[in-house]
Amino acid sequence: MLVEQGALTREQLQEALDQHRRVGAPLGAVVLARGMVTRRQLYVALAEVWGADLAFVDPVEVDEELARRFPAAMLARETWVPLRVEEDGDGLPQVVVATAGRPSAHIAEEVVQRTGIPRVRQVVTTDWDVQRALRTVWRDELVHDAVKSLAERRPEESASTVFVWPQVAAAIGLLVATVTGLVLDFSLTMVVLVATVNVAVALAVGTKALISTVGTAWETVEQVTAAEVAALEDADLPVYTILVPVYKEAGIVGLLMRNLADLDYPREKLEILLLLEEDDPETLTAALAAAPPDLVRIVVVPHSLPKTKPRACNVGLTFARGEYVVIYDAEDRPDADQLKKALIAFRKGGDDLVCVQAALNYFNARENLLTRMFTLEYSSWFDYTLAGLDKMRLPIPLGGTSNHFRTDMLRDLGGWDPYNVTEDADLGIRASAQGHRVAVVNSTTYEEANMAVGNWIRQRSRWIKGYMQTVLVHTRHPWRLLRSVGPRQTAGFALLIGGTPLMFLAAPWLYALFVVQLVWPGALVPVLPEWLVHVSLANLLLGNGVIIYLSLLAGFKRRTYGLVPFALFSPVYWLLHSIASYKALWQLVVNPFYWEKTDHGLSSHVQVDESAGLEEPPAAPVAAAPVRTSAPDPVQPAADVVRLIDPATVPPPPVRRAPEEDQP
Amino acid sequence: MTAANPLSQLRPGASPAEAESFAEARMRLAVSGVTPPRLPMRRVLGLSAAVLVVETAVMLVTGQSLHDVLLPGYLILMTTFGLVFCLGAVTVAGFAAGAAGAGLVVLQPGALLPLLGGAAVLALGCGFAPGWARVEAWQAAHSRPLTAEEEAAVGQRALDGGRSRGWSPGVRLRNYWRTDRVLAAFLVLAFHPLLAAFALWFTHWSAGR
Repeated sequence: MLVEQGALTREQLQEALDQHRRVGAPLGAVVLARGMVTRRQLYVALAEVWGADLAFVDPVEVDEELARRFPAAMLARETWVPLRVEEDGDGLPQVVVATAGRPSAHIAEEVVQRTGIPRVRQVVTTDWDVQRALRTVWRDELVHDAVKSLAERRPEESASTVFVWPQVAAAIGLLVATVTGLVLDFSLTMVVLVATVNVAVALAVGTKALISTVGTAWETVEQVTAAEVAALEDADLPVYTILVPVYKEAGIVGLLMRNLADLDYPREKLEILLLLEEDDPETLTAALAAAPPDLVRIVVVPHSLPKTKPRACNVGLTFARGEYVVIYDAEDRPDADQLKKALIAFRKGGDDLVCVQAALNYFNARENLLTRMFTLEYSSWFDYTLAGLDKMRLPIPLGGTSNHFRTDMLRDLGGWDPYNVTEDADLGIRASAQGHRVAVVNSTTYEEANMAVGNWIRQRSRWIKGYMQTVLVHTRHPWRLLRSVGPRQTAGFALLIGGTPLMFLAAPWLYALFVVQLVWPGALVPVLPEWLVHVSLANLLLGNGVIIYLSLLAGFKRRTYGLVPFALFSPVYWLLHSIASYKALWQLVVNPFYWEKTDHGLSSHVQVDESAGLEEPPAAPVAAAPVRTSAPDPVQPAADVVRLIDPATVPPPPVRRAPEEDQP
Repeated sequence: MTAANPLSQLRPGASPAEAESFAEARMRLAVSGVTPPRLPMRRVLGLSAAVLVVETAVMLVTGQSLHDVLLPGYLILMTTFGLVFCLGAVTVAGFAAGAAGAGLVVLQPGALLPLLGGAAVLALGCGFAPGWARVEAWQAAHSRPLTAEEEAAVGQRALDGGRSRGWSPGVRLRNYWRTDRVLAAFLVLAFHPLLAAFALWFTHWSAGR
C-alpha cells in the first residue's frame, strides 16, 4: 500500500522485507526505524490495512470522566486511549477508543468491563498521539504513580519517610546516653566513643578490602564472551527500551544521539525514551533541533516534586514497551555490544536475576587531578568491588547508569524510589531483600568524570546522602532484613553501604587525633588511654594504606598504569569525601529529598560544536543496517517530533477505506 | 603477486577519525586470538602452603624462635607471589607479595632497602614479561579504549610484536616493554613494605618524644 501511495519504492520494500525476515520485527517497525516512511504515512497505511478510521488525537477532546476509568499505566503499555462516548447510527451509546495497534477484542473487552457500554468503536492513531494524550489527560495520575507508587504500595521500602520513630528514639537515646556519660564520666565515655568509631571504621575498611581483593581474582574473567554475542540471532532479540533522563543539558543531546547510535542492536527493536522535564524548554528545543531518528521518543515529564531522576525514570518506565530496560545518562558512551551482553547475562543468570550492571568508567580521565582520582575510584568500585560483591553473592548497590532490568520485574519491584537520591543503590538492595539477584557484566559505559571540585562535592554529597537514606530505609526492620537476605548479606550491606558514609564522617576525627598527638604528644592521654590513641593512629594509617592500595590496583584492570601513581593522593581525595559527607548529613536532616544537580558537559571531550547537534543522525548506525536507497526529507523526523508537541500541526483524519492486505 | 594488505599502512591525508579507526582495526587484527596467561593458582597456592607447613614444622622441631620461623615463611610467600605477579600478570598476587614484604620489614626493619631493590627488579621484570603484554592485548581486544591515542599505541605495539611471529620467546622484548607498567608494578610491590617501615618509624619516633 505504501508503494501504491508512492511513499515507498519497490526496492525499499524489498529491503524492508529482507530486514523484517532477518530481525523478526514487524514490517511497519522496519520501515519506520529505517526512515523509509514517516510515522504519519505509516499509520495512514496501517489504518487502511486494519480497516479502521484514522484519527489524530487532540487531548482536549478526550472525555476526562471516561478517562478516569482507565489506568494510565495499562494504556501506556497497550498504547491506546479512550476518547469519548458517542451515539452510533442506531442512537445507542458507543465508546470510541484510539489505538496505535491493531484494533482488538481485548481492547473492546477492557472497555466494556470498565464502562458497561457494550459498543466500542476503535480508530487508529499514532503511538505518539497516544503518548501525548496520556501525558496531558492522565497527567496527574502519571505523576502520582511516578512519585507515590512505591510509598503507597510498600511504604516501609520508601525513603519518603526519612526517619521512622524507632530510629528517632534510638538516635535520641544514644545522644542522651552520650551527653549523660560525658557529664558523669568524661574519660570512660570518650573511650567508648573512640573505640566504637575505630571498630566500625576498621570493619568497614576491612570489608571493602576483602571484597575488592576477591574481585581482583576475576579480572580477566568474562561473564559473556564475544563468541556468545556473535552467536546471537537478530530474530531472537527482544525489544529493548533505553531510558535517558536529561535535565538542563541542552548542549549534549546531540552527542547522546551519536553515542547511542553506536549500539549494536537492530534499531527496529530499540526504543529510546528521552525523558525531558516540563520546565526545561531549552533541552527540549535542543532535542528537537537534533532531529532524533524515529526510534527516539521524547517524553516530557510533567512537573512535580520531588524533581528527581528516579521520578522521571518511573514515568519512562510507564511508557516502556521493551522486555528489557536500561538507563543511560546523556553523556554516556556504552560499549557497542552492551545490550547484547546484558541479554546473554540475563539468559544465563536464571529467573531470579532482575538486573545486570555494566561497569562505568571515564573517558576524560586525564583531564585533571580530580578526574584522575575519580577514575581510579570508579575503576576500583566497578572493576573490583562490584565483581567481588557478585562473586560473594552480596547485595550490589547499582551504579547510576547502565543498569539493565527485566521490565516486568522492575515494575513488580515498584520501580525507582523518587525520594531516594541514590535510587539506583537503593533498588539494588531492595531487589536483594526481595530475593532477586543483581549481577555484573563485562561491558563498560564511559561517562564524563566530574572535573570541578564544587561540582564534585555537590554530586558526592548527593550520593552519600542517598547511601544514608538507603541504610535508614533498609534497617527499619533489621530482623526482617536478616531473615530475608541472611546474616552474611546483611553484614555486607551494613558494612559497605553503612560503613562508607561512616568512614568519611569519622576520618576528620581520626585525623584530629593524629594532629593533636603530633603537635602535643601525650596531650590526649589524660582523656584516652595510650593504647587507644595508638590504635586510633594505626587505624588511620592502615585505613589510608588500604585505600591507597585499592587505588593502586585500580589502574591494572584497564591497563591505565599512568593513573597508578596518583593513588598516593587518595588520602587527600578522601578528605574531600569527608567534606561532602558532612554536607550530606546536614542535608539529610534539613532537605532530604533535594537532588543536587551535577553539571555535565564540562569536559573538553564532550564539547560539541553547534552544527553537530543540528545534523541528521547517522543513516545506518544502530545495527549493521544497509544504507537506505532513498533518503527521506532530512527535516522529516524533526517535523514528526514537533507534531507530537504542537497539536495545531495535526492533519485531519483521512477517509476510511476497505481493508486490503495485512501489510502497509 | 600478493595483494597489498589494506591495513598495512594508513593512506596519506587520512582524517583523524580514519586514523583512529585504522589504528583500532590494526590492533584488533593483531591481538585477536590472544589469551591472557592462565596460571594454575590452586597448585601454586597448594605448593606454597605445603612448603610453608614443612618449613614451619622443621623450624619449630629444631627449636627456632617464632621470629626465625616467620622470617623464611614471609620470604617464601613474597618470592612466590612476586613471581606469580611478574610472570603470570596476576594483580592480586602483587598484593600478597607486598603484604609478605611488609611482614618481613616488621620482623627485620633493616630489610627495607634490599626489599625495595628486589621489588625494583621484579618491576623491571614486569616491564619485559610477555604475560603482561598478553593481558594488555587481551584487554585491548575486549574493551573500548579510554583514549584513542592510548589504544592506538597498544595496537601498534601489539602489531609490531607480530601475530605472524606469535607470542613466542623469539619476539623482541622491546615490544613488551612499558615504562608506566614498571612504575605501577614497583608501587604495588613496594607500597606495603614502605607503609610498614613508616609505621615502625613513626611509632618509634613518637615513643621517643
